[in-house]
Amino acid sequence: MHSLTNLSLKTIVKKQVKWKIKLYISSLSSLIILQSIFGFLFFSSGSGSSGYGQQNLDLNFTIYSLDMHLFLSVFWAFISAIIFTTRAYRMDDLSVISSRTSSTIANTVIIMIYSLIAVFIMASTFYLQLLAISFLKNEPFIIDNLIFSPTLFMMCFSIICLFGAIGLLFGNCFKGPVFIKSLTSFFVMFAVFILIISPDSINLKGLIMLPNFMMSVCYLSVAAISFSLAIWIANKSEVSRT
Amino acid sequence: MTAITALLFIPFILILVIFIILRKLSKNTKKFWTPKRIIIVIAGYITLGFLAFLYFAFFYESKLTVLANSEIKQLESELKSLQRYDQEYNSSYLTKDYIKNTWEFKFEGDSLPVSIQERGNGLNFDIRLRYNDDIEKGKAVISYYQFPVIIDGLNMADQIPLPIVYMTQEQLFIEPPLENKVSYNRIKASLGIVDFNREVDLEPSISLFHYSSVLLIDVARNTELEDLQGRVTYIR
Amino acid sequence: MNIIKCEELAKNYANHNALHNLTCAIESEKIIGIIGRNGAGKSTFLNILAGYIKPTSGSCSVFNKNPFNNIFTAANTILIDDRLSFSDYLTLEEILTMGADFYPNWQGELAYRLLDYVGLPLTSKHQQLSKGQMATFNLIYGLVSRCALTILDEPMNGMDEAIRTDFYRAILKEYIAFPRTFLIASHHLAEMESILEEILLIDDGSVLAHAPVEDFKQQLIVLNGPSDVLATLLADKVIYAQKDMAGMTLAVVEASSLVISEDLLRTNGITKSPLTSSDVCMYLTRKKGRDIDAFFD
Repeated sequence: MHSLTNLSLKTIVKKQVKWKIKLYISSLSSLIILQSIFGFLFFSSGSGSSGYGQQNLDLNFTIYSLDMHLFLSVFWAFISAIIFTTRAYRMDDLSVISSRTSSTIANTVIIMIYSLIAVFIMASTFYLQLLAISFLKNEPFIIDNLIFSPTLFMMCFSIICLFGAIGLLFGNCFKGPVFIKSLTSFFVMFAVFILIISPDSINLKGLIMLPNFMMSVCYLSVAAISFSLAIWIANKSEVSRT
Repeated sequence: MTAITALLFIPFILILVIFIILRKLSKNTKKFWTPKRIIIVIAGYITLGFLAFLYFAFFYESKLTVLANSEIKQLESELKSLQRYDQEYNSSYLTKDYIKNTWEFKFEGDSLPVSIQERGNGLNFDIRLRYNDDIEKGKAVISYYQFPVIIDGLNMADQIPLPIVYMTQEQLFIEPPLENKVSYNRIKASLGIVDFNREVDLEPSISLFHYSSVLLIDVARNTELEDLQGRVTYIR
Repeated sequence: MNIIKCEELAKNYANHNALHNLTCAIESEKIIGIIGRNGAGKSTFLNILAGYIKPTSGSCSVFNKNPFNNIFTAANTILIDDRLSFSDYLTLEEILTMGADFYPNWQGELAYRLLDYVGLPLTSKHQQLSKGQMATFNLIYGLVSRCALTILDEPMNGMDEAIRTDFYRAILKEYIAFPRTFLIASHHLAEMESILEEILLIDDGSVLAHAPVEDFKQQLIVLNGPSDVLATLLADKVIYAQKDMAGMTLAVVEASSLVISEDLLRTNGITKSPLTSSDVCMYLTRKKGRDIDAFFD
């Protein structure tokens, strides 16, 4: 008998990442379209405004910050990660050397890389929107801060990554063994119930007050837990062709 | 609660709808939009964004710049000393640096009636009288001193409208200015929601402070000012 | 050497038991036909071997390892069925490039030649292929990957007869060039019989027979003779099928149960004839008392 092929999990994951990063690229183009549509819809309203009246001066600021762009990227990451776990994508994995574990690890890497690119896309949309406004709207700009601080960059990355991880976990839960499916359904219903009856019980104020860096560390830790759980579930999952 | 729900869910539904449309469309566009072309578009988009950033960083000349915290602190302490001088009726704080406009009027006789009209929001500046030996009799020099007005880290002194000062029938009229509406766009490459929550607890005072502008009427020593509304304060 | 060992394998789904007590051992470097009726559990068995699903009970080892979610067995196994799919961004040529990247024994040249032979343009997309073309491409993909265990589940579905004949030969040639284990599940037993070494017959979720093709065929025989003579001869034997006509009877019986000399048969006017392997399969898996004619009589 010919000698058997012995490829390590790492090699397979690397190969899968190499191909997936190219084949899943349309999700990034949908982020650009999404950002552009929303950028256009909320073209001149900015993310917020503030007004002051002093000494017969009525001053109004329209503030352009990253809130909307981040909000969109986060939703995008969540939905994209769920899409990565859908049937069509899972079936494609079966046509090459893979296991559910290797595919999920590869998806994890893809989500992280795409989250990083998403931050750049988000920043690009922000600056392009400002450029369009500066040409079309005859109001001067005040530049409070133009440059993403490294910690802010890290925070944006980590929160996008976090929601991608949650999406991946969510998608994997519903493809996993029956007890995990039921557990997830129960958890989702419980969370919705809590949200409806007492929305104030979820208080993120403490988290927001943390410095950017600490916040990123928190997000990344939760993301790491979600990724690990997703991989663990994938390792237990059968191939479901439905 | 319902407002928050609507605010969160409407964009969410909109995003979902866009996603579904995109996925439907992507089936038909896959022939043209190969991964290679998509990568080129994404790289192009990021490059364009970077160019836009470079434009703002190097070529965009903003008429207004945000003051650094140290500058703001300095101005704040200066304004505090102005207030002290004013309370001591000492005109030495009214330096040339702060003069924004001067009017000169001639009148006959030894008395000058001053009529102050209050409209709308009322008068937003103080009126001070100073006997000045350098001024000849029958002449009044009115100077408007504008002190820094700091709003959200910006010195808005230049945007404060001038009062309306005129003289008819040997009487000086002072009227508040018409409201000046100004809107600016601010670029804040940060997260508003996070900044907002943090600022509330951190530095509430720094965003807004000012000291009333002063309209100074300089007249010769023997002139009598008829203060019709009782709004003029004497200053040495 | 056995590369597949299954013992008491069972797979239960919510509403039915796909496999129960399936025990078998498969040697390496053989072409084995996995035969069975629809719903017999063939695909479930093959999916377990490919590591896609986990048996409810029992043990299964492929290359001495549990195949479930195992990257080692995955690297040495390929399962080709009609659900094989590829990203719709990839052309056939790119799919081959991807395959070459993953499978160490990949035969790119051969793939191009085979695609050229069947007239599949390299620029077409997998989804746009017709059913038969897709099956052809999938089979080529499976052949050129040269995995030590190549599982083909209904590989010829939708192909026309000419291509089917060609590809049975292609499988054989590939097997000779690079000996490996082929498991081929198909309903076209008669067509592929010539390339098979062994037949594994699955019925009702367990192995009914596992033997070399020749032995398998000889399991059952047809006896044709006077009804009264045959009736006494087969009184205590299991009869798989029987047809009576004008005092003559045609009966299918197990060859091993017949301990009677050829001469005696001849003197009693009974003739013995062999069955094709398809017929053997059909009779072995036919449920007792089930006769389609009975519904219409």
